[in-house]
Formats: sequence, C-alpha cells, structure tokens
Amino acid sequence: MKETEFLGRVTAIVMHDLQNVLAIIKEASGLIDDLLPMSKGLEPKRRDQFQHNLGHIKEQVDRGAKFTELLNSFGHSMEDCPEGADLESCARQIAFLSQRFARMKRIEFLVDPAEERQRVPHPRFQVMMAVFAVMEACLQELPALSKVHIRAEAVNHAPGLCFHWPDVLHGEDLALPIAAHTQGQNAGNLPPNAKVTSGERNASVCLSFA
Amino acid sequence: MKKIKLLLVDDEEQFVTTLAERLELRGLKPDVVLSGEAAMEYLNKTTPDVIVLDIKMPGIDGIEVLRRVKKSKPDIQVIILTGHGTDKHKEEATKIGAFEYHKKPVEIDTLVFSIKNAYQKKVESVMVAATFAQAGAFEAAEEIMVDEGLKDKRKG
Repeated sequence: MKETEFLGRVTAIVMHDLQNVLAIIKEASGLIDDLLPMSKGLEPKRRDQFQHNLGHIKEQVDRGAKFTELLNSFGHSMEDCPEGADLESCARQIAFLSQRFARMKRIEFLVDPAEERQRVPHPRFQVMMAVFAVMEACLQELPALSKVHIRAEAVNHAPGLCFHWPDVLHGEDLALPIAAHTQGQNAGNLPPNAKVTSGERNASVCLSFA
Repeated sequence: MKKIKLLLVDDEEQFVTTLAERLELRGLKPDVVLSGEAAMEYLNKTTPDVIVLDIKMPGIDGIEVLRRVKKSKPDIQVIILTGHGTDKHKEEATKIGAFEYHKKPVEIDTLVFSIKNAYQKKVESVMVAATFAQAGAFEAAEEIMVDEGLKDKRKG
C-alpha cells in the first residue's frame, strides 16, 4: 500500500465514524424538536429559545455533513481510479474544503459550470493538489475581496482549468506572478504533466494537463 | 394505509433507537436490531415489508444482508442508510436490488417518504398481479410477481 493510499483510507474510515456522530446529534436534536410542541408547561419565550438553538444545531450538522462527505471522497481520491479525474468536480471539492483558508484572506473561489466535461487520466488527489497550488498562488498575489472564477475548459487543446479574477483593478498584471509560484523551484507542487500559464483572457491563469 | 412492518438494522445503538422513536412519532412502529446476524435471525421468524439497513457493521455487513434478503425473501423492500457512502457501494446495492440509497445524516421526512414509497411499490405490484389473476391471466400475473420480486421464480 502506498503512503497516500494509507492516509486516504484512514481519512475515509474516520469520516465514516464522524458521519455517524453527526447522524446521532441530528436525530437526538430532531427528537427534542419533535417533542417540544407536546410539552405544555413551557413558556413561549423558552420554547422559542429551544427552537432557535435547535435550528443552529441542525444548520451546523448539515454543514459538518457536507465537510465529512467531501473529506470522505477526498480520502478515496488516493485510490487508483480507472476512469481518471473530472476536473470540475476536483475543483469544486478542493475549493469547498479550503474555503476557510481563503476566507482568512477574504478571497472567494467560485467554480462555474463547464460547457464541456474535462477529464484527465490521473489520480484525483494529484489534480486537487495542482488546483490547490494555483489557489495558494492566487491567495498570495490577489488583493482581499477578490473573487476568482474557476472553470474547466480546453487549454491549447489539452484538458484544463482557468482561474479568472475579472473585478481586480490591474488584475492582468498578476497573471505572471501567480504562474511563477508554480514554476522553477515551486514546480514540485504540480504533477509532472501539469503546467500553469497566463490565460488568453485578461486577468487569468490556466492550469493544463498533458 | 395498513401498518407498515418496518425493521431498522444498524450497529450504532444511540442512532437507531432515537431514529425509531422519531419514526414512532410519525405513525410508524419499527422493530430494531443491532447487527447483520440479528437481522438474519429476525428474518427467520418475521417478514417485514421494508428494511432500513446500514452497510458497515461488524460481522455480516449490510451488503451481505441485502444479498441474502433478495435471495430468500425478494418481496421485502430494502432502503440503505449509511455513513459510508461511496459510489461503489451505491452501485453495488442498487444492482443487488436496494429500493433506495441514503447517506447519513438524512432528513427524517425524506426517510419517511422513502419508506412509504417502498411499501407502496410492494402493494401496487401485488394489486396489479391480483388484477391480472382475477381476469384469468395467471401467466401475466405470475410474470409480474417474479419481475417485482414478489414471487421466487424457482418455486414455480
């Protein structure tokens, strides 16, 4: 078993347990919510407080469930997958999992739907690693409050992902520095068959896979 | 609607007992077992209409329980409810004949809707077969029963 596979498998196992933990919290709080209307002695104000806070629990359980589902899938991404990786779904997954990281820099990554599906014959975790490297470069170079649109599309006839920040003043000047973060001594952040270049559009870079 | 005979199978005791309580508040009266082995023992004595089944359990896992149910009592509708939701498991469960596949945690109303639909499917199939049988079309009725898993083909 490869190291990455081991890490992935352990992650998936733990996520399974966490999904059960969330399911127990959801059912227990749901039962309280079910029983609340039946408890006659409760002051309306207290009842509202209960319901308000049960709403918070439900909201956070749903949020946690989304994380565990994606992290479970991330764990399985280390396994060999004969059909390869779908670029849009990899971008969505890593953008969701690293949203807190982006929020600290007050930058948002938005994955737009692709016109045509782009697939590559590489393990999904390698694709996600490459997407993460470009996201990190964007976080270092772009100003706060930037919105980066990511879309799967063909780049010079090869499957790829374009990162576009249309609302940044003089954003076109940032394409080269962003690409530079993944070149030279930083090229190790990308799988050998991937590269990042300035996009054809202004204010964009493209990640393509040979 | 007739009382649905419902069985919940899950090794997470706190989860499954609380779920059972919530289902009771919604007019269902499920039985609960905590392992695949206990489910097989239960099925030797009783035939539920619908089973809500976890996949990852120690001993006989949910996929094996599903396989055995579909072989010995194919009329029972099985809903998978699991925290270990991979596409591979979903594909396998659907192929064996699971009625529906949900990931934990699930909305209670979604689950109740699934249980009622599963029961409805069983009832409708019986009614269609009965209509054909009443009209004297026994072969057609038998075909429906076999297709819908309401009759074992081998028994003739």
